[in-house]
Amino acid sequence: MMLMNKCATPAMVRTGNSKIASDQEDSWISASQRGDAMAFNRLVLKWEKTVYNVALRLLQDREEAAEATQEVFLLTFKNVRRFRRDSRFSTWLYRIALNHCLTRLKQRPPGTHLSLEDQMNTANPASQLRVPENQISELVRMEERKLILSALTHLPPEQQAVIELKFFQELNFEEIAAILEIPLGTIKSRLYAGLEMLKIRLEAQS
Amino acid sequence: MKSECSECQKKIAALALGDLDDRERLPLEAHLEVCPHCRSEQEAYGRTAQRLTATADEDVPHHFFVYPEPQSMNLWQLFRSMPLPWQAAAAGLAMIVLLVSVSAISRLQVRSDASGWAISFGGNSVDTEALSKNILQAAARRQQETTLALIRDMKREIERSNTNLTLQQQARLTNALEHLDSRLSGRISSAEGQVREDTRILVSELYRTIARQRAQELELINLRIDSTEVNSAIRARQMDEILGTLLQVADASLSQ
Repeated sequence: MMLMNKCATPAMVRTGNSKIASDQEDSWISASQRGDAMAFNRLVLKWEKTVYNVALRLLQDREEAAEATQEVFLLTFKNVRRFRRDSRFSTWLYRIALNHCLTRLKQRPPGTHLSLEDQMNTANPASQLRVPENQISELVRMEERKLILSALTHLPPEQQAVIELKFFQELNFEEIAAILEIPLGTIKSRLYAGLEMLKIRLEAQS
Repeated sequence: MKSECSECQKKIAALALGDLDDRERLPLEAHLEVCPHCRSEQEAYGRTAQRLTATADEDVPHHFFVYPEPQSMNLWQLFRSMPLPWQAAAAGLAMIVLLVSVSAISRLQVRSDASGWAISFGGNSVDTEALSKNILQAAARRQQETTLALIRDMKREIERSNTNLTLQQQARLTNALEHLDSRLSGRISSAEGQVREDTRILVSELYRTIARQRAQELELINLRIDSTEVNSAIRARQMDEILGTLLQVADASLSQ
């Protein structure tokens, strides 16, 4: 046993860990499908940061993103029995989250333009209280984040969704096509167009 | 050269995203070697992609746990929600209460005196207030024990799962558990209130049934007393007539 542990490569350990995590997630999903709210809350703990940040980048408003995240999890809990395991749970969850956020964006009155830029310095008091180890690098990081989120607000929602999944969730084209349920060619054209617009804005700001 | 650049620039985004096969990638890379303009364009795409992937996620402002819709439970739903051993125990208790009630009703006596009404079962007088209090206390105790057992099971389950979690996850779970505890205790108290109310209604219905049966019994007794009085009167009249006849016979014998 010791010999086996010594011989295990990091990839093997990672594979083993992801297998355990996947089994654990499977058991939580099964329990949730039997109506176990505690098990579903473990799934919430695992995915809430991802879903919240997807909503935040699309909606550009912290309060609305938190509200949308709560609604996404309630929606997922209500419909978890319908999850047939023909795709990964994350694919299903991304689809619900993106559709919900895009619906919210469409329901906004025309001309509404929110930006996190104004909220950056005031909205998260906890992050302000935290004293960073290197204040300069922290400020640079915050400024960079501000620039990127600001550039994202100028993209159409459909392009934002594709950029979100490709760059922030680091999914491949096939996974993105499965989540958004649109053809691969459309995914690519939206991605290239979105990336080009971001490049122009970010390079100009820099 | 310009048309080649224009052609290349259409593919630079695809190159940055790793979406070109060798047939398209190799000529493009060869062009980038010699064209500074296209190379700077490629570097700009690379920088943009790198900046996007390097953006860190924000922490959540709070947890987004979900809870099933709270609903008040009646006695049957409460019974259905119990674990099997508790269901068996509750059913046994209900059966005992039923048997005792039936046995008590069959030997019921109701008396009224100067101090008021008194109910007795087979000659032993029972304090109705104490009986009601005992029933309520037993129901509340049973409910509390069931809930505590449920909470113990949940805590044990969470402790077992905690061994596979990181410290941060454990802290989150502990917070979630505390929140759940507070919600659960609220639901327990409302369920206890419901049980008390249901038991109170049961006891009052029991009293009404007893009173109704007692009234029927009293009516029967009155009827019997009435019929006994009528019979006695008839017998007295018959006796009078017999005695009268005997006296007449005696008088006639003496006169002869």
